[in-house]
Amino acid sequence: MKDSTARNSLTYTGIVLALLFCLLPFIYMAAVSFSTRADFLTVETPFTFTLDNFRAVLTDTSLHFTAYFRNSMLISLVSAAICVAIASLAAYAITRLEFPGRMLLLFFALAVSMFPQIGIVGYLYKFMASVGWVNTPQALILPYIAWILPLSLWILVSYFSQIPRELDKAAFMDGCTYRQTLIRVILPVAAPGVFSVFLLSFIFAFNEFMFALMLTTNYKARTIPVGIALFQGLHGQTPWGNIMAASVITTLPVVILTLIFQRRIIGGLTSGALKG
Amino acid sequence: MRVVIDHLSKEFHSLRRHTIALQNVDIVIEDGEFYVLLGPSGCGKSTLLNIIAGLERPTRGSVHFDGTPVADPSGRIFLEPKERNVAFVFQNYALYPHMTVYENIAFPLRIAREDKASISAAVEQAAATLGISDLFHAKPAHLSGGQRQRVAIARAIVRKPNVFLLDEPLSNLDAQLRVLMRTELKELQKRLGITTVYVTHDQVEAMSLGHRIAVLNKGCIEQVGTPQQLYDSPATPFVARFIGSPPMNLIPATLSSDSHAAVIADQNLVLPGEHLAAVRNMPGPRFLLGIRPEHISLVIAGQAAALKARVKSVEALGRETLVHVSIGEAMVTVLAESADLRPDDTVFLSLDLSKVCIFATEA
Amino acid sequence: MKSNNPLRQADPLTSQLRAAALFIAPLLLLIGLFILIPVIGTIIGSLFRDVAFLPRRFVGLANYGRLFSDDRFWQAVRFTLLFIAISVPLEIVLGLALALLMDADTPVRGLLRACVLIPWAIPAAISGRTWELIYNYSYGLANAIARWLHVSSDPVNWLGTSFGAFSAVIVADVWKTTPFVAIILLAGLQAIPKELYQQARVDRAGLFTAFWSITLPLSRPVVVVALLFRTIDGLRIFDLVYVLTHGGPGGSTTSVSLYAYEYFLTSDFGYGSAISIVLFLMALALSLVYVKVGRFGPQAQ
Repeated sequence: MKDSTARNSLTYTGIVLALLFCLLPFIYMAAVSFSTRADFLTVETPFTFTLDNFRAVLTDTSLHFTAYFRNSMLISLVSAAICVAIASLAAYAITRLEFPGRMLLLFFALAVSMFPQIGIVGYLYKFMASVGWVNTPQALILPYIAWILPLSLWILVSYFSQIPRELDKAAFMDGCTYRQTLIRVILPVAAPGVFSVFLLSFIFAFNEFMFALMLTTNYKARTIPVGIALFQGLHGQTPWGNIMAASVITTLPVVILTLIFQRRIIGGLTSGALKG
Repeated sequence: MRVVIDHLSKEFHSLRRHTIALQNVDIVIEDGEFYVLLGPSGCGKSTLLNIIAGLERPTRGSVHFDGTPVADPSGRIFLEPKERNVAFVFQNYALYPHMTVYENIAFPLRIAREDKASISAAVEQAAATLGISDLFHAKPAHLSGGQRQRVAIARAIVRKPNVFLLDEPLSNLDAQLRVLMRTELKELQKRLGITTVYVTHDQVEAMSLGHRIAVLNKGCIEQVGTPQQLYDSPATPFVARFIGSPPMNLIPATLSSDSHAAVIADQNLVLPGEHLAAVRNMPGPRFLLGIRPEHISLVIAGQAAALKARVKSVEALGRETLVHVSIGEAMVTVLAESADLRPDDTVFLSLDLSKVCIFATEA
Repeated sequence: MKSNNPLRQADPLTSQLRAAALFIAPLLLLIGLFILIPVIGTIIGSLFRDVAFLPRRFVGLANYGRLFSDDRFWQAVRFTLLFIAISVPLEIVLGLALALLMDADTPVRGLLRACVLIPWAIPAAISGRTWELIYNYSYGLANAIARWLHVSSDPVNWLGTSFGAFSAVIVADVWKTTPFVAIILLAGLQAIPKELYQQARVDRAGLFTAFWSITLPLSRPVVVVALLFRTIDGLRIFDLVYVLTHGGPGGSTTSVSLYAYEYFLTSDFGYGSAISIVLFLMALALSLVYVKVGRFGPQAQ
């Protein structure tokens, strides 16, 4: 019994510390965003609550935040959707069809996911420049899809392979083609897994930095991560209030998504990892 | 629909090994017949069913439906399952978990692009036949095993198939439900009159359901016949042991020097003429004498044609008693009525010589 | 595979091969076009002298030769290797602790898991700027805490000294990626059969013994996977150093990726490509080491 109370107190202390560790920077971020001045932690400056930072970020078009938000959402949603579709097709083929090099394809995907982005981005820029696609959505969407495909493929293969083959046979007996089997049977049954992959793909696309940094040069095409990273003040004074407000607005949907879909996200990551 | 399987062989090739699943199988299934493929696991019965269905391609040989070839590698002919108008009931039912019962049954018709009205009529008729009309809105996860099976069968018959294929559909049900479903299936088939091919490893099921049974072993057909034929006149020791529970006794014996009797562990047993002829046709002096436990009676000492045996164990099963005896080295099972025998008792066995079967010794 | 003609040619596997080709084509096309071809382009580009406005000229391995004697390059390599040498073990240890907490059957388990995920889920650029503020010399949170804990009399110049900047990068990276490691390790922990712990309790083994003799050895394969992923990931670090320290002060926190980027920024694609390829080779070498070690690891169970 003494062992279990010791264990309990250890566990709960650990949990408190863990929560503190994870959330402290956010609390600070939020505090600064609601403060008139970023230096409220110094002895001289008190904390004064204000919503001005949020107002500025959302309404001041010279800050371009709404443009960044729109771009990020559009690019992330499209990339995630197309990535899931393409990965589903390939995952279906790998788990259900007989063709030479099935396993090779999976390991090829794994190898590709280990490539350093910097080894791709230079030439990618040259290519985009040559076809005039710099500062367009497709300049980011297409590389994003390619970049997220390997992990999506692994996770979907892991989910699809848990669906019994008998279901496919039943579908064939009922007259389905391969395509119909995938769309009417496999995808609905694997829906939770497909959704997890969509979530993960969205998160990856949304957070991506290097490609967005190199393949966009003006605010019209920029995404949020780049926008916030390059947010400098006009007079050498970094506008921390605005930056933190923008950060809060950006992270809020992500935080809500994570709180709601925590199980899905973890499920997707673990099935991908266990296969690895 | 008359199904003819001609010289069918199936081989599986993989990197590591080469398996022969079926070897030169010849089968004729008459229209409206309930035909059972019976055998132990690995004998190829499911593979054969899959080939009839169109889920597998034969390596050699052909399958014909009413004279039209549906699978013939040499003629480069292969019809997909949906082109053959066959229906399949899987061992684990393979119901679509995300669809309701109604949608499950309607699925094949929707894929075939039939109109809503005729789909609705067909589904309702199929459901009524199986007695599941009140389950339309339920999902498979909420159904019992028996209900799921009925949905699977309804889905199969809704398209009015020419051939009805079932792969061990009752093996996942508990014993009582199995007996119930067996009767229902038999009546259903009689009512619908669809040619049915049924795979099972359970010989009781096979005997009860089939018009004819094909016994398979290691990819080859051991014997085809009606249940009674298989029971009374098994063609091989395998069939003899497989059909009937408890299985037929196969007692090693030799021909006596004067060729008039069988010698079992130094005891003589005079055999009737036709059996002696069969024995003399054997390649060697040794052979197997087959006799079912229920065709042996325990008699008092001294009767003619009685074999002396020693009791090894007794199983009292309520309605009947199984007595395991040894004659010399051979173990024999006898079906007796009473159980007042003990191990090491001496008993005398009288064989019903008209029911004896003669087999060659297995290599 | 609809067919109107019931009698048609049928080679074994043809329809499956055809369908398979169709189904994997989009994936191959996208990865080929937007990953493989750029990589090949980079490899080829590294063999050229390719600076903006100057004509492109084949120079063979000259760029690599230049790298060999480039001090700043070696500084970047040293930083990158030191970075993974310190951050990865930290992440594994903390990740394991977090995973144990997330595995424990507490009423706040869902909340804990969600909160732990959040640092991983937000963009690195955003967390980078927050940490940049935290480490701000005059009014950042870090110095406020240091002052409150009476650790030092003067405010610490985190981002202005190479040691401070390095520590800042480590802390920020550990904060952000430990959740990911924790989740992978959690999966491994959940795979350990609970009966082993029950048996340990019957055998009167304490918490520590149970951890040492059951949890650690059986987590080994998952730890190796986490190690592999994190090390390869750590090699390519870019986002954090760009935003938090801009590679400074004096290039002391410039990773190899960032170093290559600096040349791409000035349109020196040749030299930048060469640096990128070297990073590539480093990742390759590391994965081969893991494959070798990993071969003997799980077997030794």
